[in-house]
Amino acid sequence: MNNTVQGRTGPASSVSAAASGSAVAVLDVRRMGVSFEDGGKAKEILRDVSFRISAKEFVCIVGPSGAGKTTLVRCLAGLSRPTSGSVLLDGEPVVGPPARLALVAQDYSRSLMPWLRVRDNVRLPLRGKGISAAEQNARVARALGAVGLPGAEELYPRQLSGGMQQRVSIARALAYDPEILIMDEPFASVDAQTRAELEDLIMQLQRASQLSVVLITHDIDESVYLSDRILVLGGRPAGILQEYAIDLGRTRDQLETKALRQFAEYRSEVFRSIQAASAMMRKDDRP
Amino acid sequence: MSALAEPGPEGRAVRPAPLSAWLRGVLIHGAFFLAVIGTYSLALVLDPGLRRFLPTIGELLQALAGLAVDPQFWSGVGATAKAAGLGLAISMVGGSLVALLLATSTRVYDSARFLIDFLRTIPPLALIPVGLLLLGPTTRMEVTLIVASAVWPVVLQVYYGIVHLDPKYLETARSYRVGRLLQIVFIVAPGVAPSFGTAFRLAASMTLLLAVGTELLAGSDGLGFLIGWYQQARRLPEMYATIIVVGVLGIALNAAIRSAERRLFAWAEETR
Ligand SMILES: Nc1ncnc2c1ncn2[C@@H]1O[C@H](COP(=O)(O)OP(=O)(O)OP(=O)(O)O)[C@@H](O)[C@H]1O
Ligand SMILES: [Mg+2]
Repeated sequence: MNNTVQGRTGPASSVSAAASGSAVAVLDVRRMGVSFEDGGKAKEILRDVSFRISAKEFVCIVGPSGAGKTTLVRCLAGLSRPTSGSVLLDGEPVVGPPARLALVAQDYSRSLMPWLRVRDNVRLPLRGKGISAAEQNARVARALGAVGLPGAEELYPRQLSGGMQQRVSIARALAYDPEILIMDEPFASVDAQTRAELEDLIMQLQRASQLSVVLITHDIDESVYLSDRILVLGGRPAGILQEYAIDLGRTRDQLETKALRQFAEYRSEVFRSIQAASAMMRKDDRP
Repeated sequence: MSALAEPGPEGRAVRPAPLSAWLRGVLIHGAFFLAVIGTYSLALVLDPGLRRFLPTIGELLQALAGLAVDPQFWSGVGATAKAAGLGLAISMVGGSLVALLLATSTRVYDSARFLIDFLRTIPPLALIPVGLLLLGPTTRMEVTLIVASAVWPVVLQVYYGIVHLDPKYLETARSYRVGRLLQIVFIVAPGVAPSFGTAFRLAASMTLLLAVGTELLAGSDGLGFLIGWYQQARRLPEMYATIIVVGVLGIALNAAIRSAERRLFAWAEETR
């Protein structure tokens, strides 16, 4: 099986025009490569990664643990610079964290300041940007309500469970009102019911606005349910192994959509693709 | 959403009932205190020879009452507080600045580390002859000696506070384009504050000890000087009373700073 094909293979992989083709690319990743210094030796993590994200598009990135997904989105968010290639946002190279882009980092527990109450944590990104205090507080309240933590403003992060902290960091991103929302395994610590609700929340927000979402997940069902497009990242060094356009319509439902025959087909394709990527990486890891 | 599925926020804020705990503490400490006084008095009764160098509780209380209205005692308190306070302030400011400097690069830290370790292991009282030689038995000499010793715990505490501040916090702020000044106000300052508080507590206890010790040995004005003076004048109850005052001051200072720390740094409760 040829796993290094750049997308557009198999029945489910024909990328629809609506999802990417004619739409304007907001994010344009061109032949990006990332290497790290590791004990004097260069360790190549990503090579020749190219893809585009359009306005109003929902893209999930899946792939084995350690493939380089976090490394990839850190470059998208302007927190690190690729070693080669480029990331363009609206045609401009990303050289630092762009305005209108929010990143919900994987390590949520270290992204909330323990000395700030929930309110001040969510508010911090809004400060110094010419937003009135009343508007800031209103946005905080709205965002906390949206993630199911209304009235949590006065609490400190340590008074919240892991899943609740994760939701606060999502609320912080929502209050920031970005045009591009990048989330790195944002629902990893929340219970199944809350997870479904947060998925629907992000999907509704994305459908109702100009928001583009890039979401990293290990949950295949989640990726198929949410995505317009799924990118499978894998290999050593990692690249985009597969790309799937998910034609399940714009309105989706936790029960009905997941019961569709098409849904099951997408799911098995993505599953096999990740399975192949993992096998490949394990083989490469052998000394 | 799932507020029911997870422990409610209020559920975690619960503390053990404070009043009964407080009462129990008072009872236990009170009983222990009374036992000590009782044993002490009993010893004096059983062996009257001890009374040559130990006052009775009655004499001690009388001496304490006498000190309370003695202007000389209060000017001693003032002198000690002034020297200790000044030394503390200088140690905190100077030590924090040195810590900032050390934190600028690991190279600076590595090269300064040996010198700092050497300086801070010099026994404080060993510097008294040097101080006397250079400055005489003055408050200036006393403050200098205090700073020379109390500045090091401040340097180290604040330095570790700065370098152990998780860079993730600053990165998060950067990713949301939070400006430099806001980062200092909302992240660096509060993040380092607990270390600053610890440094303040350690330095405060040290400065009091050093002030009294220096006064006693070098003869600069203050409670330490009075202790030595009462001893030479054979006014033993006053001597012991002054020693007790110094001890109580130290404990009270430490407790006050601790309680302020607990209130200010409630967020760090689990990590301390
Ligand atoms: N700063 C760094 N220095 C050296 N190596 C790094 C650095 N950051 C990441 N790596 C390495 O890059 C590889 C990819 O890491 P990354 O965190 O991007 O994986 P991931 O796909 O997000 O994994 P997971 O699904 O477990 O979160 C790993 O082998 C990791 O050890
Ligand atoms: Mg990751």
